[in-house]
Amino acid sequence: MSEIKDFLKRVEMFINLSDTMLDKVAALCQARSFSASNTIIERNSPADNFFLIKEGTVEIITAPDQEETEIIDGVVVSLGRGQSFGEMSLVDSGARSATVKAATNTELYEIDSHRFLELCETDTDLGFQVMRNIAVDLSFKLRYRNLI
Amino acid sequence: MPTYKVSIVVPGRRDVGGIQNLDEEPKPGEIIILGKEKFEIVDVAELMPPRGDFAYLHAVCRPIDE
Repeated sequence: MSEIKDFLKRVEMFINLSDTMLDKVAALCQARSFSASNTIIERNSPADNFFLIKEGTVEIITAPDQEETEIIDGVVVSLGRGQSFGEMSLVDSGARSATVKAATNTELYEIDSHRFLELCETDTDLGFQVMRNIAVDLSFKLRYRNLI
Repeated sequence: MPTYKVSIVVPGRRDVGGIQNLDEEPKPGEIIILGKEKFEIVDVAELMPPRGDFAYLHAVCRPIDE
């Protein structure tokens, strides 16, 4: 558990969370592994979990229906260690907006969105911090998108 | 220990770059590996003010001809 907690301290989504709060989040983390080029999330599928990247790199793809040689045109962003993805479902409860594939062999932590939202509603201080951190992360990604 | 969240862009190349968390602050002149290629960092700017132990940077890179 302490290994997960140490990792969570380096994840932006959990900035300003106390040790007790991090223990609660760590209890929800499930370790997952994906080989390079495996699909982690399918676009338009139901969004019932989100992921934290422990090791490796993933690609967020908005046009996965093209031929494989053309997929690079649909890559919106590559994300590496310490980044999160799939967390938009915590905010809007909508379906997946993009496909996510492992660009390398990738180690992730998966968190069930419903259980995490229950935690946010039970511990509202934790919920406020996490939602603010998600807003900052989305702002960063928008700024990045405007620069490429 | 600070974490540097860095948006990495190679002008004219949409197939490399991305967002990475780095333990060390990237500096112009340093060499980084993106995918299987080497790139030189040519410019680093603050993208957003720091929060907690996180600094938010933007790095522009160029391919190294070998």
